[in-house]
Amino acid sequence: MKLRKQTLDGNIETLLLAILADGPSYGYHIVTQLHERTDGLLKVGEGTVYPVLHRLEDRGLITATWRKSEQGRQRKYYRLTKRGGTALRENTAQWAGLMQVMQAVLGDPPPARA
Amino acid sequence: MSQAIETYLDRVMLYAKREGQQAQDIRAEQHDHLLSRVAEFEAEGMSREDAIFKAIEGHGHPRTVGYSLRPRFPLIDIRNRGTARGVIAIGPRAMGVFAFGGAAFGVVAVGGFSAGLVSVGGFTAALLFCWGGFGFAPTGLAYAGMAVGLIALGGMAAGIIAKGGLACGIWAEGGITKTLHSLESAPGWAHTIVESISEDTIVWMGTAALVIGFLVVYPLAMWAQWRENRRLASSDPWLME
Repeated sequence: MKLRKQTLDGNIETLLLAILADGPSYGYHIVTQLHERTDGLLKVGEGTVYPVLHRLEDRGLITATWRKSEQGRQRKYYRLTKRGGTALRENTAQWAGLMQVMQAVLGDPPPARA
Repeated sequence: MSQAIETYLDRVMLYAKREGQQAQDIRAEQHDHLLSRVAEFEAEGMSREDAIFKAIEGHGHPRTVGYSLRPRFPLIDIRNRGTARGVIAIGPRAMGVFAFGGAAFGVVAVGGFSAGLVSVGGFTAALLFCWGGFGFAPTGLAYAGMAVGLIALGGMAAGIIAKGGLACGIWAEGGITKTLHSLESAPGWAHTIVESISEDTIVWMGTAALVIGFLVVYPLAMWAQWRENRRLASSDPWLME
C-alpha cells in the first residue's frame, strides 16, 4: 500500500521529530530509520525529507551543527530542541486522539500490504 | 567523487535557486546523503555504477527535490511545473500576494481560474472585486460576462443588487429583469456605487483599463516563465526533455 501525499502531509514532521527524540542524527540516517521503522511502508523521495528538516530547523524545533563524519566528509547533524520535544508530545497526543476516533468508527483495519 | 552525482546535484541546485553559503550547505548535505547511500549499496554487493544510479533514483527527480528546497516564500517564485509560492508567484498554479497562473490564488490573482481579494480571469472568484468571463464575488463587486455577487454587473448578472442584460436580484435593473424592487429603491450607498459604475464613461474606461492591465501583465508573466525555461535550458538542455 502506498500512502497518499495528503495523508502524509503534516505527519512527516512528527515522524522526523520522533526519530530525533532518540538522539542527534543526520539526514541519511534519519531516512534509513524512517524506512526501517515503517518496514518499507513509507515510500518518499529521499531528497524530499531535507526540506522538511530545514523547515523544522527554521521553526526552532530542531537545531543543526556541522561535524566531520567518519568518512571525513562534513555532515549536518540535527538535534531536537526543547520546543521540538513539546511539539512532538503535542502531535503524538493529537495523533493518538485521531487514531482513537478513527478506530471507534472504522473498527480494526485489515493489515496493510507493503 | 562521481560525475553522475555532481551532474544530478547541479540540476537539483538549478531548481532550488539558492545562493551563497545556503546553496553550499544544501549541496553538501545532499552530496553526503548520496555518497552514504552509494556506500550502502556497494556494501550489499552492487557495482559502483548501479549503486550510483539507484542512489540518484531513490533521491527523487531533480525538479521535485530542487523545487522543494526553494525558500518558503521568496519575493519572486517562477515555476514551470507545480505550485509557485511567493510575493509574486508565476506558474501553472500560483499562490502569492500577486499570483499569475493557470490557477491563481492570491491577494491579486490573475489566471484561467483565479481566486482572491481582487481577481481577474476566465473563471474568477473574489471577495472584493472580480472581472472576467464568469465572476463570483459574494462580498463584493463582480463585473463579468456572467456575474454573481453582492453587486453584480454584466451580460448576465445575479446578486443582491444586479444590473445587466439579464438581471436578477433583490434590486435589479436591465434588459430582462427579475427583481423584487427597482434599482432606484436600493440602499443609498449601493445605488450610488451601481449608478456611478454604470455610467458609460466609467464602464468604458474601467473595461479598457482592465483589458490593458491584463494585456500587459499576461505577457510579462509569460515572459518571466520563458526566461526561467531559458535559464534551465541554457544550463542543462537535458532538463527540458
